[in-house]
Amino acid sequence: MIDFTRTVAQEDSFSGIETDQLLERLQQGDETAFAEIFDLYKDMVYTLAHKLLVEKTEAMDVTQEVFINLFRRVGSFRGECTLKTWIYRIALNQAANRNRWWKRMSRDHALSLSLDQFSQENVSFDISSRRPSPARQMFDSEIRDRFTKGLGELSFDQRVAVVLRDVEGLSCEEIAEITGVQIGTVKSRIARGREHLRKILEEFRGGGRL
Amino acid sequence: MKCSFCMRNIHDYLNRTLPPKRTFEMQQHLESCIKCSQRLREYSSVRELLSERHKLPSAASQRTFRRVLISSRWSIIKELAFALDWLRVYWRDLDSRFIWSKVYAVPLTCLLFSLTLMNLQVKEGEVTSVPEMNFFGVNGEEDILDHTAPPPSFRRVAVRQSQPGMNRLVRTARKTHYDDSLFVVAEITPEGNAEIGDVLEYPKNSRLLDAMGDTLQQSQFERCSEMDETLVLVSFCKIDVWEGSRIDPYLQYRFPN
Repeated sequence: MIDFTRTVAQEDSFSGIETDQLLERLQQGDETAFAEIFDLYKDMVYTLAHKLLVEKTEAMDVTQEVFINLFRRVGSFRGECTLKTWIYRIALNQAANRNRWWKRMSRDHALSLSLDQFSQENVSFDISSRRPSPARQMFDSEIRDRFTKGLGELSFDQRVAVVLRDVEGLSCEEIAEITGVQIGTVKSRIARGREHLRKILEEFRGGGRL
Repeated sequence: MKCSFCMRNIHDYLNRTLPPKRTFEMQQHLESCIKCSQRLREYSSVRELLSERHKLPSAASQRTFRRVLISSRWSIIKELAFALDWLRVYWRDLDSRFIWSKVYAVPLTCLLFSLTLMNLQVKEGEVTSVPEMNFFGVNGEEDILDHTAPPPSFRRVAVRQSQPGMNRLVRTARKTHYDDSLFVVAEITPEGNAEIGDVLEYPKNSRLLDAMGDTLQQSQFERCSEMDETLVLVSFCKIDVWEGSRIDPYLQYRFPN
């Protein structure tokens, strides 16, 4: 039986008290605290941005914007929510802004200059016995590409809900708090998003490929 | 438990929002039902593919850190740039925000427009804003400086800043481009010498521009015979620099010394 009770998100290596101390030091202008917070949350923010925008360079830009915003507004942070929730909110706002911008510029009809789609890092044909066969690696790469494309086909709100639940491991209540919508709406978005992604995998299986 | 119930609640099961009793029933059903457990496996694959985490590349990480650190240090230029960037982004995304946000643009545009108008009015007022100016005489058509004509009978009349003849004259002088003439504001001494205070319109022709200095020096601004005291007159004159320095006085004002 698959255990779905585990959380996929990385647990904070810092306890709440230590995070509070970090925040306090940061509000006093301590740059070492700044470095620690950056190290602690950079990958989380980058992963979130990467999943939401489905583009590597965009995700890097958004990560930078998120931290710039975070350190600009840290003085006004009153601790109504946890630091992590606050970072999620900033990241979502930035990603939504970027997404809106690309939507207006019709990204889907524009040619992307990103090298992601041409990179061969996922298709490394290593014939050593410990690794999967080249055919399997090729298949994995293919399905991953299709899946990433499928993630981009979701509406932004659905993507946010699915990523926060299944990637970051947040509860529906936390997602509702971060996105500012009802829990029922969150659940519905998660269900629709998962269903769409499941159908994509089913297409592969229907083609005798899974 | 029926499969339809299981399918209906499978997302709640995945989200761990089912009550413990229902969760237990679901687990039992999933162990026995191939179709439902297959569906669960598919969701498991989805989750597995989703759960791949990305790591910010170290070069990008260092670059980002450096930029964020620099931007976190306070500087008035950065604050200004940030504010401008915020405005730029706000303006850029205005049409994609909700419709009422466009309403903000209306008073903003009106404000900018009225400020522009006010600015124009102030500029125009600079010429006419002479405090306690007494009206000496108006002669739009006849030449009061002509010695052959009988001396005009002067009377003191208070001139307001919005005196219509004055405004009209200044507007005309500012808007009309003359090729062969220019408007000047001159102070006239009792000896009849004129000191050019302000030239409102220069001739466009370069030859005329060169000739203008000589013309103005040779010009004689005549005064009225009754002016035995030192008076300062301000005259708006259209001087024809092409045909022998003919002076057409339009308006004359006297300042109290």
